[in-house]
Amino acid sequence: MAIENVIMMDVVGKIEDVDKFTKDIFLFNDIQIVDAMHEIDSGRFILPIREENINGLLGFSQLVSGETKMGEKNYIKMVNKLNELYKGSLKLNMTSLAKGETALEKVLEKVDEFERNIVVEYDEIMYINTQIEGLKKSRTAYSYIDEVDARMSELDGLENFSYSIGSVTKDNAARLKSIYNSVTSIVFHIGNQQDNEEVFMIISPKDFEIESHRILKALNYKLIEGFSLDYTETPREILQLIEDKISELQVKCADLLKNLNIHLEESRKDAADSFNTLSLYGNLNIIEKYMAFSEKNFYFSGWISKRDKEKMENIGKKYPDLIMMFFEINSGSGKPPTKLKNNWLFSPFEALVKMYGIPSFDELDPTPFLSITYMFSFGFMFGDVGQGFILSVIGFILGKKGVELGKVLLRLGICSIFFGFMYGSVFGFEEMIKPVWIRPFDEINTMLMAAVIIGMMMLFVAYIYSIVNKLKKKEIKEGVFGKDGICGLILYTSLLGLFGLNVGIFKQAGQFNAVLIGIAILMVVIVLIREPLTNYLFKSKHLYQEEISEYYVESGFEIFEMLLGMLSNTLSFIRIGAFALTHVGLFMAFQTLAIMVQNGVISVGILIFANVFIITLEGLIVSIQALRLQFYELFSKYYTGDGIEFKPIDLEINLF
Amino acid sequence: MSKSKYACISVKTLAMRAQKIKESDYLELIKAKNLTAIFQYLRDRTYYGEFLKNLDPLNLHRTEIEVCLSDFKVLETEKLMHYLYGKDKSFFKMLLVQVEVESLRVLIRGIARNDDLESLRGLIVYSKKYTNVPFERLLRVKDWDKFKELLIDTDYYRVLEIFKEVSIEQDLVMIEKSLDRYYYDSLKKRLLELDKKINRDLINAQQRNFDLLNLVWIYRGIKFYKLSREALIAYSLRGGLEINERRLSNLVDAKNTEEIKEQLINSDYAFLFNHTKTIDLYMERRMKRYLYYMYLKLFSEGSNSLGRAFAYSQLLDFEIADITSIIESKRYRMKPAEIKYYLIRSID
Repeated sequence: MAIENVIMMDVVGKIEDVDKFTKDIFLFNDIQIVDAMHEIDSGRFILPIREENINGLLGFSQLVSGETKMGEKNYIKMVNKLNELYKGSLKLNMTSLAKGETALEKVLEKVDEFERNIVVEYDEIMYINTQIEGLKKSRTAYSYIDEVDARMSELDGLENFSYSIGSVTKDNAARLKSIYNSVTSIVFHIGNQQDNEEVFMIISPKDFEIESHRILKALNYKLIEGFSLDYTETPREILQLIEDKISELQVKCADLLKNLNIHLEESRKDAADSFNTLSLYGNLNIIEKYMAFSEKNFYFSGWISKRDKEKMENIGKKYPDLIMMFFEINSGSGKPPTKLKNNWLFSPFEALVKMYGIPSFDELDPTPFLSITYMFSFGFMFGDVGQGFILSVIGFILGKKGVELGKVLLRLGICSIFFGFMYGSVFGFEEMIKPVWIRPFDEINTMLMAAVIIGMMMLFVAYIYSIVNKLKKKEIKEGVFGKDGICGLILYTSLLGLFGLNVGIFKQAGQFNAVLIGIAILMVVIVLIREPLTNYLFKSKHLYQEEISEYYVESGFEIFEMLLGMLSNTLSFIRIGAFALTHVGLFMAFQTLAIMVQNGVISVGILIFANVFIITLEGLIVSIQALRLQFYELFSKYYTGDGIEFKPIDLEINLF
Repeated sequence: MSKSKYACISVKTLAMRAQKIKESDYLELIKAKNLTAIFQYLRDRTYYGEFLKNLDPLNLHRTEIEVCLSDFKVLETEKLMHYLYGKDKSFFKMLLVQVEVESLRVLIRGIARNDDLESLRGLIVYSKKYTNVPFERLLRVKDWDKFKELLIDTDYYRVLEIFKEVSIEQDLVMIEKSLDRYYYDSLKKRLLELDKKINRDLINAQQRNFDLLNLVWIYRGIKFYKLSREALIAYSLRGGLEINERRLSNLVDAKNTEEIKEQLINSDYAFLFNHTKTIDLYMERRMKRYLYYMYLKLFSEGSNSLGRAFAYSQLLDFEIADITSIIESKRYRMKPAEIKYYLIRSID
C-alpha cells in the first residue's frame, strides 16, 4: 500500500509516569504529535464514561495545556552551554538513550560537577572577553581625538569650559552645521561612524552648558561611550596603552582557552552522556508542551500508523492505570495526515510528488505510477548507454551525500542506459553497438506513433486513478458522470475507436461507426447534464445550484474544453518521441562539426563538449518535459494533492 | 522597459481609485444627522463597507471608525507593494512606517500618562507583514526603560535612547518631534534614492510637501511657541524644493510673522499667508488642499512612474482625513455649509 492508514491515539495516564511515557514516545519516533488541549477543546478527545475512567474524566474540568505548565527548563540552558563548549560536536545518540537508565537528578549532579571543573576557566575567559570589548570601545572613542596634543587630565580639569564628544545622524549633522554661527559652543567635526553617524566634539563655556546641551538633545546627540577619567595621558599615548593591554589580554585568553580545551577533552565522555540525557529531557519538554495536564493525569494525542497499534499497546501495558484509545479516521477526528510508504524503487520519487502536493489521506498515492512513467518517459527521450551511465554515477554520488533528487537521478540514468541499448547508442555514437529495437532517426514515424500510443496508455491509467479517487471521496457527480470520470473514459475510448476505424488501423470498420458515434454523443450529453442528473438520482431538493442558464453556459464551455483537452493531452505525448529524435539530432550536428574541422584534437574536444552539453542541458530539458507531462497532463486529471504531511517526532523537534 | 515597469501598478491604482468615494457621497455624509448615520452610509453605500461591517452601529465611538480606516490604508499599501521591488518598494514602505510612528506615539503618550498600554490596543495600527516593531510585547510594557529595550533592534532605539525618562512635562514633545523628524528624514532618504529621471514629478511633489511642512512649523513656532532659532532649525525638515538652506535660515531669523509673509510674497507658497483674518484657522487646510490638487495632477500624469501609486495613497490619506473631519464636525454640531470649509477637498 502506498498510503498507510493512520489512526488517532489518545492516552490518559498518571502524571508520575509522564516522563517515562514521553521518553518511550520519543524513542518510538513514528508518531505525529497533536496538541492534546486542542483535541479536547474541539471535543474529539473523548473518554468513555466508565468506572475505571473516573479519574481521567474528573481531570477534564481542571486542565492546563502543557505549553503553560512546562515553560523553559534550566537544563535547556545547560544543553546550549555544552553545545557551545564543544562547538556542536556532541550529537544526540538515540541508541544509547534507549539502553541506559536516564534519571534527570543524577545527570544534573554530574553536570554540576563538570561545571565546577571548568567554571573557573570559562568564567575568566568570559570576563576577559568583556574587558576586551570595553577596551575596543575606548580605542574607537580615543581614536576620534588622536590628534589632540594635550593630556586628557588637562581637558577633564578645565575650569570654565566643558567638552563632550558625541554623534548625530547625517541629517542632524547638517542641521547642526547650519546653526554653527548662533550656537553658544565651539563645534568640531572630528569623524564619522560606520553606521552613518557623524561625530562632533563640543566645547562650551560652563555658564552656557545647559543651553547648549538642550539644543544638542534636540538634535538627538548621543555621547560616545568609552571615555574614562582613569586615562590621563594624551590620546595617542592612551591608544598605545589600550593596544598593549588588548594584546596582553588576548595572550592570556589564548592560554586559558588551551587549558579549557584540555579539560574538555578529558571529560568528553561524561559530557557526551550528560548532553544526551539533557537534550532528551529538552525534547521531552517539547513533547510535553503538546500534552494537557490535570492535577493527577496527563493527556496525550497523536497520529500513528495502524500497523503500529500493537507496538503502542505493548508500550501502554508497562504503565498501570494508563488508558490508551485508538480512533479510526472517520470517527469524527480531524483531517488525518498522510503517511507515504513506498518501496526502495519508488520512494525517492515522493519528492517529486510533494513538489505538487501531499496526497490526501483518502486519495491513491500517485508515486508508483509517477515513478514508472517518469522513468520510462525520461529513458525514452534520453536513451544512451554512456550518458545514462554518467547520470547514474552522478546520481549515485549525490544520493550518498543525502540529496534526495540524486536518487531519482540514479534511477533515471539506469533507464537511460536501458533505452541506450534499445537504440544502440553509446555517447551519441550509433556505430558501436547494434540496437535491440530501432534507431530513432531511421524510423521517425514509428517513434512518434509509439510515443502517442504510450501517452494514450498513460492517460487510460490516469482515468482509472481519477475514477477510483473520486469514488473513494464519494463524488458521484464527477466520478461517474464527470469529464475525468467513467463517462469521460468511455467517451475517450469511443473517440479513439472512431479514429482507429476511420484511418484504417482496424480493418473491420463499417457497422461499429454508428454505434461509437452514438455512445460518444450520449456521453457528451451526460457530462453536460451531470449536475441535474446526480441531483435527480439522489433526490436533492434543487436540481441546479445556480441559475439554469448560467449552468449550461458554463457546462457547455466545459464540454468544449474537455474535447479540446482530450485531443491536446494525447498529442502532447508526441514530445516523448520528438525529444528522442532531438537527442540524436543534436549529437549529429556536433558530429558533423567535428568532422568538418579536420583536426583530431579539436574533433575530440568538440565531441567531449557535445556530450557534456547534451548531458547537462538536454538532460535538464528532458527531465522538465517529463515532469510537465506528469503534472499537467496526468495530475490535473486525477490528483488533488491537498493532504497534510505526516511528521514524525524528529521532524517536529529542532533541538540539535 | 522602464515605462512598462509601472504599467501594472498604475492600472491597479486606477481601479482602486475608482472605487473610492465621490463628491455626491461627501454631500450625503455632510448632510448625515449623526455619527451612526455616517457610519451606516459608509457601511452600506461605499467601498469602505467591507471593512466596517464588524463594528456595532449602536455602540460606536468615532475613534473606532478612524482606526478602521487606518487599518484599511495599511491593507491598501500592502496590496500595492506586491507590485514593487527594490528601491521603489522601500520607498513605499515608508507609508507603513508613517502609520507605525503614529502607533508608537500613542504608546509613548500612554507611558507618559502612566496608562495601562493594553487599554490602547484598539488604537494601534501597523502592518503585521512589514513591521519589525514588537507591538504585542510593547503593549505589555510597564516602564520606559523596558519600552526602549524592546525596540533595540529597530531604528527607533537610536531616536529614543537618549531620553532618560518620559513624562508630559518633560521631553514628551521633544520625543514626538524626534520621531516625526526620523520619519521625514528616512522618507527623504528613500525619496532621493528613486530613479530621478522617471520619478521627477513625484520627487518634486514630495519636496514641496517638505517645504510646506517647514513653513507651517516655522510660522507657528515663531507666532505661538516663541521658539529659538536653534530649536526651529533642529526640527525643520531637510530636502525641500524651493525653501533651500539659505531661505530656511532667513525664515528662522525672522522677528515676527510679518517678516515671514514678506519673504514669501513672491514664492509659490504665498497663498498660505495672503489672507487677512483667517490665516491661522485655515492654514492646515490650505496647505493640504494645495497638496491635494498637486497629487491629483500627479495621479493623472504619473502613469509611467511610481507617481500615480504614491499620489493615490496620499489622496486616500486626504479622503480618510476628510471623513474623520466630517465625523468630528458632527460632534460640534456644525452646519453642513460650515463643515465644507474644513474639508481638504473643495465641495460645492
